Amino acid sequence: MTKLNNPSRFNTSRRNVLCGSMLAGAAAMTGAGALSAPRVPKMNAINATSAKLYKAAEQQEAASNAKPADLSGYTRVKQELVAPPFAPAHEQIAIGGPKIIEITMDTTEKLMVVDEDNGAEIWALTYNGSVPGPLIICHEGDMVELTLRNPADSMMEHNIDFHASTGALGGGGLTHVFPGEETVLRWKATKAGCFTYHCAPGGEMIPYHVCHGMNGAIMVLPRDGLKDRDGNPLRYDSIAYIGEQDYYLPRDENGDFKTYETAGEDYSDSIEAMRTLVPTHQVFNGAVGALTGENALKAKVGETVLMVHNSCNVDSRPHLIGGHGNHVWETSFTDPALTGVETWFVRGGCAAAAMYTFEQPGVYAYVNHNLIIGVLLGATAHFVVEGQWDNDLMEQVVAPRPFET
Amino acid sequence: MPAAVTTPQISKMLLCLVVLGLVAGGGVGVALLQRGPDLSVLPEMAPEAVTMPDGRALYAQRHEVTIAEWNKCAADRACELTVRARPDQDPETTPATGLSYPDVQQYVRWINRKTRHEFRLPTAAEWSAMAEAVLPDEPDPLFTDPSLSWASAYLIEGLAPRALKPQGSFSTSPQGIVDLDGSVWEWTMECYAGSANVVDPDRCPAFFVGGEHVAAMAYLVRDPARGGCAVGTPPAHLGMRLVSDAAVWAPD
Repeated sequence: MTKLNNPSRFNTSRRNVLCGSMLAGAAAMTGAGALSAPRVPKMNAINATSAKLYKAAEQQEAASNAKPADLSGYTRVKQELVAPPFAPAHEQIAIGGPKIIEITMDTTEKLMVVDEDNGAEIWALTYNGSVPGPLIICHEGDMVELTLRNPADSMMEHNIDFHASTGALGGGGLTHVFPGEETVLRWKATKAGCFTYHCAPGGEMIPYHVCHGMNGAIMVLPRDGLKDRDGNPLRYDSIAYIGEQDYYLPRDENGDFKTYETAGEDYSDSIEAMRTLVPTHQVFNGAVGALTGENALKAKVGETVLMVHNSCNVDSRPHLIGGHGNHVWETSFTDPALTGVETWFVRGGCAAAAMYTFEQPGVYAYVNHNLIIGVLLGATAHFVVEGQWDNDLMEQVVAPRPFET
Repeated sequence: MPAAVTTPQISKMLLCLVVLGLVAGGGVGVALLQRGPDLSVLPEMAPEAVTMPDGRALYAQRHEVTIAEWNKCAADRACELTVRARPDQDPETTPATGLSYPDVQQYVRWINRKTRHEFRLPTAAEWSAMAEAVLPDEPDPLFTDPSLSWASAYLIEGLAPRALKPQGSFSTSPQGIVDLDGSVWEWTMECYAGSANVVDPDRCPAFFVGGEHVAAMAYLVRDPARGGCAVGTPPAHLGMRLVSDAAVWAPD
């Protein structure tokens, strides 16, 4: 670490300069008027350290004596990513040898409504335009080859840190792309489980990007599929991909949510709001009500759903009201699944999977069972399940009626 | 959930009533100083009365009570709550929302004292009659099995818009009543207490609110957050509209 802090090792390059002055660059793009606005942050010591970390990673690459990757035996396939809560087409049991799975993600900055009721909105930072970013699925031993593109009209630098990957800050050190740039990163999925991925441009920008929606999950399945703790195969009929997002929307002196003209304009206000650690919203899939009503998840009695829950920043405790987690993998697919769980735990900075087979029709609420968060801050999804009611499991014996006192 | 009356709720309600009593008492003192009714706060009524199924005429306020109208009550200290318009909204044309049942009762008492008129909230049946022409057809229930009646009202399509809009953003009824099908649900005076026989409205745990679908709302709720155990899509905003059994004449 002393080496990293030694100024003599810090060679200025375009990338380092840009890394340390991202917002200044962004401000310049909005014109001279914006430059005078008091929103250009001072990059702090953490930022400077981060910048050097990336530099170190890049230097290694430039003067590398590492062996070339052995790609023999791999088959190249493309995975078409889809918007949440859906999962890309995939096999539950790997067919054939290992794959190099090619995916493309665009770092899109867009104004998104957080709560239609009161007009709260955010300049979200996204992968492929959704919060959370798309679910990626591969098998253990596969390689993921990501093309990360930053559209030319972006305000900011972006990158990606895959918790499932090994090295270079999860790929974060090798994937910084500025507006108009693209990069390609290939990494091998050596750990089976659900993992979060997120943007981590350095310093304060890390939580800023994460709390503006720039995170998602990858599921690395065992090659022979999911199993119960006794080794019996487990299969699902569908995946419900749920991303829990904490937002810290700045308010004005009256308590109203502030609005901004461009991405990044909320920077200093956001940092201040984030410091409170108290989210104004904590929602599933980007907005209050994104998975309820018209957008409710659908299933049938007898169907098995795998609920993949990503929570990049905050701890969560999902509970399926009226159902259970039959098998829950909180950490990895290599540890035996928890069974018969009422409420499970998704560590902040983590993704987890829970499997349930519906036994009753009706409406189920999937909530963060910190019910203040689930109800007041928005972390609720609904499953609408069709099928035949089972009176053995539950029956209303007496409907509410007056009683003698 | 809404029908459950627990002891703490009752004591809270009693406390609330005491406060209301004090406020009302203070109001009477003010009213005594007034020479006549203050017709400047008289609400604008819809051009035509609504004929109820039983032949009665019901006169309804043209728009929902606005933020500006509400805040006159607050300025008079007859309404505890001051409603603030968002920076992008005009208080003169934005409905007052975030109102609980005790809140709207304060307004009713105040406007009646100011105008020497008898305004009230509609019953659920009156509200439905007012809104019949502009409301969408009731959707087929999601589940028809009686065992699933608890979930049958869940809506997965045809949901009302939820954003708070200026008055006039939604439909106008044939009688000229505006926005009955909008994003603001309006309190009625009709108690909902399940099968229990609640006679005294001051002991009623929930009231019906009129909107794109009729909902029962716990009396203390100001902001019907969606989600949690609440099956069905709760109203987006809670506001109010006055009705009168007699015609209301605006000052010239």
